[in-house]
Amino acid sequence: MDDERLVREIKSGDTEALDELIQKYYRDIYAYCFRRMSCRADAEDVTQDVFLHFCRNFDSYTQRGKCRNYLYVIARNLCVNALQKKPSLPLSSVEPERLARDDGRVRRADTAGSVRAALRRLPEEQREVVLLRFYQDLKLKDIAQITDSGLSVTKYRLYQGLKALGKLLSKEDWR
Amino acid sequence: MKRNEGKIREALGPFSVPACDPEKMRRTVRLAKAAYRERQVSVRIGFWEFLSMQLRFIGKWVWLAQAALLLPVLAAAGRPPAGNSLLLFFASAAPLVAFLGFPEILKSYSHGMAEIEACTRFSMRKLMGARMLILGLADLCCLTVILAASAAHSGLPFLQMILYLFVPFNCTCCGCLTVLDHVKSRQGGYFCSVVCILCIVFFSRLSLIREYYEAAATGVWAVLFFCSLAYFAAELVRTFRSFDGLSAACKGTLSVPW
Repeated sequence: MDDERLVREIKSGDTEALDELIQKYYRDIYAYCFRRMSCRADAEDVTQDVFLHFCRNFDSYTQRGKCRNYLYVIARNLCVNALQKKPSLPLSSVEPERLARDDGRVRRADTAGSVRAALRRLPEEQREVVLLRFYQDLKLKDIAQITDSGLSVTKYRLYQGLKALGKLLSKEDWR
Repeated sequence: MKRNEGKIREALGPFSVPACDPEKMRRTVRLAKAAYRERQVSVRIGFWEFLSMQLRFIGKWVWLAQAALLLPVLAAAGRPPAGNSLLLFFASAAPLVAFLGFPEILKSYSHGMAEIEACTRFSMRKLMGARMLILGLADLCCLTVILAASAAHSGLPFLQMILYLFVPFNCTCCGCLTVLDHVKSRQGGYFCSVVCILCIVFFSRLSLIREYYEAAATGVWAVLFFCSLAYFAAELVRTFRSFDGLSAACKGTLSVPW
C-alpha cells in the first residue's frame, strides 16, 4: 500500500495501517539512527521515539511531501537532541587501534571502523547529506527537504562531504 | 560524481548496520498504537465547539422559562406602562432571570453526578465554567430584550432603567453565587430559591416607594450597581475556582484542553 493511502487510513483510525507503516520504515529509520548514534541501543531507542512522536503528533501532520521524509526529519531532530544530551567521547577512545593516521589520512579505509571514523570527522551538515544519499539511498531533492535546505546547498554539501571523505579515506578519485 | 557513485558506495559499504531486534520493533508498534489511541482521546477541541457541546446539556425548561418571562414584556411593548408597573416588573423579573440558571448549574450536585462529571473527559471547572458562561449570556440576552422592549414608552432615562434592572439582577446573582460557593448539594437549590424570593420581595417593596426611584437617588443606585458588580465578579471567580476542589480528588483524570 502506498504512503498516501496508509496515512489516509491511519487518519480514519485504522491502527493496522499504522502497524504497516511502522514495519515499512522501521529498518530504514533504525539504520539512519544507528549511523548517527553509533550505538545499537541508542539507535533502537531513538527509532522508537521517532514513531511515538509521529503518532502523538499525527494531527499536525499534513500530507504534503513524502511520509518517509517526515519520519527522517523527526529522526534527525531526535538524533541531534540525543547526541547533545550524551556526553561526547574523545575520538581516540572509540576506535584507538583502527585510527592509525598518516597526515590526517585514515590508512585502512576498507574497514567499517575507519569509514565510521572518517564520517565522524565530517562537519555535521555534510555527514548528514552523505548518510542520507549513500546509506539511505534518498534523492537529493528529498535530502534537501529533510535537511530544510536548498537543492544547490545540498549538492554543495554532498560534494564537499565526499571530497573530505575521499581525503580521509585516501580516495582521491572521488572528487 | 555520478560515475563515481559505485565506488563511493563500495568504499562506504563496510559501515554496515547490525540487524534490528524484532522484539524491539514489535514493542515500537505496540507503543505507537497506544500513543495513537491516547492522542485520539486527548485530541483538542475548539472553544466554540466545546460550548456548543455543552449547550445541548442545558435543560430545555430554562429556555422555556426565560421565554415565558419575556412574553409579558413583548406583549406590553408599545404601550405606556401604568403607574409604577414597569418598576415592579423590573424588581420581580430581574431576580427571576438571575435565579433560573442556578438550578441548572447545581444539577450535577442535586442529582449526585458531581463525582462522575469530575472524572470525565473535561474537568469539573471547565464544565461548570461553560455552563455558567452559557447561562450568563442567555441572562444578558434576556435582560437586553426586556430593556429594549420597555425603553421606548417607559419615559425613564435609559441609564436609570439599566440601574433599576441590573441592581436586582446583580444582587440575586451575588446571593446565589455565595450559596453556590458554600453549599454544593441539593440544598443549594433551595437556598438559591430563598435568596431569589427575598430579592423579589425586597425590590418589589422598594419599587412601591417612589422616592427611591427619583433622579436624586440615581447616585445611590449607581453606587449599588458598581458595588454589586464588583462583588458579583469576585464571587464568580471564587465559585469558579471552588469547582476544582472536587476535581482535585480525581487528579489522575485526563482533562482535555480547550
